[in-house]
Amino acid sequence: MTLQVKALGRSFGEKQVLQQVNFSVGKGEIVSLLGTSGCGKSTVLRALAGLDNDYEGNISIPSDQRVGFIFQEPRLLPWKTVLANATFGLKGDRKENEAKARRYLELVGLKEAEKLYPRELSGGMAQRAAIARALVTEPDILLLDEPFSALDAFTKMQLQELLLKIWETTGTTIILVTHDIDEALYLSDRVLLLQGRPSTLAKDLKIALTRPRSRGSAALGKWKEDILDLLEGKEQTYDYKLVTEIGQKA
Amino acid sequence: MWKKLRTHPVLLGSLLPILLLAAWEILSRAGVIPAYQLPAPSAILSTIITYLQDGTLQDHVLLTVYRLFVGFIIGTIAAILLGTLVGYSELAERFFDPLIQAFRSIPSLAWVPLFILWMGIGETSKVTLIAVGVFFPVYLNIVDGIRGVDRKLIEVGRMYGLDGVALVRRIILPASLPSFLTGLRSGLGLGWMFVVAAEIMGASQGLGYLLILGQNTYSPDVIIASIFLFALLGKLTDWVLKLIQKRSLHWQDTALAK
Repeated sequence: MTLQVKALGRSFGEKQVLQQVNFSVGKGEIVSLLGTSGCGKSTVLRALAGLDNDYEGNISIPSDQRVGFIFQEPRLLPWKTVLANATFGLKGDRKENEAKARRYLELVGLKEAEKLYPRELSGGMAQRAAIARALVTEPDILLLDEPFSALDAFTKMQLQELLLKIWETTGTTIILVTHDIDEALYLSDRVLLLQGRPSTLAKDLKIALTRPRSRGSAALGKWKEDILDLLEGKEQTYDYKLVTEIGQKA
Repeated sequence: MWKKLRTHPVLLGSLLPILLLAAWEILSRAGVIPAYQLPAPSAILSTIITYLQDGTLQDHVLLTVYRLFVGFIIGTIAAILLGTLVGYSELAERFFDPLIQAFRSIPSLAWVPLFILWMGIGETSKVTLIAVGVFFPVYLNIVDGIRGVDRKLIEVGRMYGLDGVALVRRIILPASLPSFLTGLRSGLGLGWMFVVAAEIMGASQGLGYLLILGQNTYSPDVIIASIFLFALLGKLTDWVLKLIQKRSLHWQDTALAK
């Protein structure tokens, strides 16, 4: 088990956003946290990343596991070139770092862009650079907070493929926050559904489909329908029969 | 012809000054404006040349620039130290900022009598006055700049294990550089204002002294010559800072960046 979350809760002032969230993620798994906006899925991720320490409950990540984070926006440092941004997380010899960063820039398709500044990049290029910056540190766990939500459909698909390619070559554990059901289904081994006010983990769905998956496939379509049903306002009264059916499909 | 005039970067803007200068010259020569009040541009130019030739103008200019420079450096260093501290630490803000804000509401020229009383009429009081003038705009811009650093970039730094000094050095300072440079430019502008004030209050050399000399000797040409030199030097130093600003902020994604 790479990562374990026990009884995670978080409130902002009076308002309880999360309560009693429990899950664990195995090594090399791709897990999506799915939920409507404002359900606290990013809050879970920020707690995992150590960006937020005011949570209740317990998060355990083995200390030898390096954690990388990719934000919703690229968040490149505007005063640094693409290459300098990519080496940002590295310590030690500059030449070595740059050589390493160049390899990852090539992987994300930005080989030619290393001298450009962030203002000269398109949204997709900037997000690729951010991905390279996170990958350079060779994280064992990669956390992504709606990383493709601001991109057009085509760029989004390209970067989803890129993420799968990275996963295949590095075997890194991936936890992805998204509100895009298609994205969650296309990428993940498991989809964790956050629901309720305050949110808790409503479902842990195992998507037992082989890769490469076909985006328009009937199997994914069925999953999507079921998840939509689950999300649709039936916050307190789950249709447990349906849930069992989904469970059996897995 | 008209098209060239419209599109040339300097031509159109220099038209009005040239016309005014010509009118002024003509009116002065014709005796419409009395020379003891407003001498002709050519007379002012010849005054400047005379002073240049006997070498006194260089001394005046150098001393004024020297005073400004020393005061500017001292004021800026103080502003960087306090501004970084106050901008970064909330504790330091609550401790220092109320007092600094209180001092800010004192018009800086009101210090002059006190500084002269304390430090005499020599260089120290002048430089101190200039430093005080430079301090506030630089300080305020640094504090604002640091406060305004995008929380999202700070999170990036934290995600890569930065905190304390490393976070300040690698994220906060570069991110607040635009604001700091704006502060430097307005600080420099105020510095010029205060160097005039300091030299008017009592000096035996410097461009400000020339102003007073001109007043006391009924020589408007000397006054206008030194006003002109103040304008020239002010513009020149601001241009240097602007150049530095442009060089170091080329990464900015603004309309001005191009």
